[in-house]
Amino acid sequence: MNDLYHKLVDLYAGHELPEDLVALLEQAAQTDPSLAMDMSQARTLVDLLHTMPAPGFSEADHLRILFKMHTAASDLPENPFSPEQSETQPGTQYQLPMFG
Amino acid sequence: MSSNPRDDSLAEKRWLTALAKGDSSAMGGLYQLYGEKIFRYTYRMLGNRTDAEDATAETFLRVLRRSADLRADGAFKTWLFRIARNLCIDKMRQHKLLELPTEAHYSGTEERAALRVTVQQALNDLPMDYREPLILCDLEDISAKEAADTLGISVPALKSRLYRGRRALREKLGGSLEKLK
Repeated sequence: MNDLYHKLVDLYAGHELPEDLVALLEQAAQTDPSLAMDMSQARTLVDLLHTMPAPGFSEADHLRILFKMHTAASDLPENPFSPEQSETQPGTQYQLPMFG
Repeated sequence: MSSNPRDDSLAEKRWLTALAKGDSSAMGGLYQLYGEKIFRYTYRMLGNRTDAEDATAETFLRVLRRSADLRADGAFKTWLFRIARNLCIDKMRQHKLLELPTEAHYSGTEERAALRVTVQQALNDLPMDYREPLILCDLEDISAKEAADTLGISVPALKSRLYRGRRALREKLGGSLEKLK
């Protein structure tokens, strides 16, 4: 299989081929088992990559990042990551959990 | 962050304009829009939570330090990812090693979950030139144009790396993909 052929399969795998070319390629695959396997494996891999679970972003991560930014920005005259600032910022949550 | 890209784009413009005018509290809005995306990207690049948190925090601090130069011209997201990428590369140079994310939860059927672990390992073993386009385009669903701009390469060059990366990944995975069928 040449490089162009491989690229065509890659475009197929990434759902980037126009419908007419997809139909042609799938038709060709019916009589070419190695092409059929190549197409199937390539698409399985791309679909798998697209459904890999995203790293979880928890409230604890969020708070730790805000804390790091707040500490590092403490030399700035107006620290945008301070709890006081975020109280006036509706989109920002920065409230330490209360225990006890 | 809203589910509507147009709303996000309007919000981004509003926060950037406010920040450029000296309203540093607008930084919270930008973090709200992009904080999780940057964390996820840095986590996939670095492979551990603590470094990803550091890189995310530092990314936004760099934005703050350069807030006077900000323009709401639509290129902010790419610029943000480029800052995060440079920080990740610096960190990788320091560590020289990549750890496999240990906290990731791979759900689904047992075979698929096991394959995801294998894919993650194979991905970590790929050369950076191949790994980065795969993370940006296939894992994070970033457009080819934005990914190319983030990496400082043309769209055709990005597509070529993406294609070679997928092939390299398939070679590393060998017959593992067959088991899924």
